[in-house]
Amino acid sequence: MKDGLERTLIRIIATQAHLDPPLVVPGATLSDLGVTSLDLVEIIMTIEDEYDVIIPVDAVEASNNYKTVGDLIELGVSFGLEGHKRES
Amino acid sequence: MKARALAEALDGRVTGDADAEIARAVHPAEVACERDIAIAITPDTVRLLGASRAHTVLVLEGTELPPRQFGTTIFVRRSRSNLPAITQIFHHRPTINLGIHPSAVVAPDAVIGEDAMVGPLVVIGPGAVIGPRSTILSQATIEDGVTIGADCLIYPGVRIGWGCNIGDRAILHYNVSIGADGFGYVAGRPGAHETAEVAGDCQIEPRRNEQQKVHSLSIVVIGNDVEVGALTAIDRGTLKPTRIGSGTKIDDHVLIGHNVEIGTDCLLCGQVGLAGSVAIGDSVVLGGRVAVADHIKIGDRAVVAAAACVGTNIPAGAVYAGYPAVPRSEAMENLKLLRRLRRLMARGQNIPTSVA
Repeated sequence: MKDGLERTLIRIIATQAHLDPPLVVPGATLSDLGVTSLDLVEIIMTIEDEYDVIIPVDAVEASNNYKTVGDLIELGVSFGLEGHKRES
Repeated sequence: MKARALAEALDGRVTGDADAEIARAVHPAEVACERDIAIAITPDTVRLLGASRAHTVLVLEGTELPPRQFGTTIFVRRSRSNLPAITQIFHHRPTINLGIHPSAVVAPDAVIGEDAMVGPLVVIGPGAVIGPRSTILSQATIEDGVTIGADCLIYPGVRIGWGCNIGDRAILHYNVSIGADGFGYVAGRPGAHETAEVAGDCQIEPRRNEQQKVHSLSIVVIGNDVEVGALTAIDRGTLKPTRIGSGTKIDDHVLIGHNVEIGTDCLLCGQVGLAGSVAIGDSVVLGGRVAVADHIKIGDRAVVAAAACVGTNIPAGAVYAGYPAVPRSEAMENLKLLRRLRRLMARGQNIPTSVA
């Protein structure tokens, strides 16, 4: 199930940051991928849209707390998005 | 200069030919000849070294170089001062011919300091004082009573209006305007904007409401080590000077209105606009296109994100963003709420618009 979440989040990040999905691996840092703090807000909002959830993280603290693609995947896991039914 | 000397100046070390001559410092993609040194102190530029024509390169200690030979490599420690130090060594200096060019028009009682330069077609008014070793390049206009400190560099086309004071080591780029009149008018009767503020609209009687000019009687005072970008305009004050504190750096196309006071060591990025009587503390950073309404106060060390529109005072140390500018965390929260509103509206699209 985590693989499904990982694939979805990688697609969301790649789309927002205009990157080739193969570059977006769990160990990649958002900074090296060129993901800005505004991108990060859009990424979190897109995750909210796709999973129809509210992720109550502070947008300013988010850029300090989530440094890698893996961190965002863990964020998704911590909000129980694995196996969560996505909005079509 | 030789690679050895460059490395010493940067407190670095050389491998390869330490006697290699270096004429220019350039981006790895811009190397044109052996005398160019490729500066590669970021991951992006290091990646370009493999395909670069560079013979001589400068990189950070610990950099993994691409698998090819370079004639000379200079290694420097990671430091925030690397780029300032490198560019200080190689920066272009204007050709300076000491003294006054024959085509310059200099008032007889103007004082030109020792080892200063006054370039072609410069105009210097009565009573102006140019400090020692300052350089006034071609076609600048320095009006009567202006004082310019020591070691300043005034680029072509700069205009400095009567009475204004510029400190030491100022750099004023092409076509800076210092000391134009402030934008101040009083209408004979309450103007449209005043009526709108009170009444909510401006349905005023359709006859002329002549704007009376408020003249600018004061000057502009600029501290030491201030740099002002091309085409920036700093207007003179009405009854007290417009002031720019020492160490403040101002980008191109910035507008600084009358009576504005800016503290020390601030950064104002391109297209910032400060309306009249704005007061800005020390070490404030205003991102590009930040607009600040008249009489607003911004505290020390505040940061305002690009394109924000400031209509309220900002306390010291705060970070503001958005339109209207609010604390950054609030601006981000507003963005999130807007995004969620889209989802909420989609969900509520079948709700009747009327309960009647």
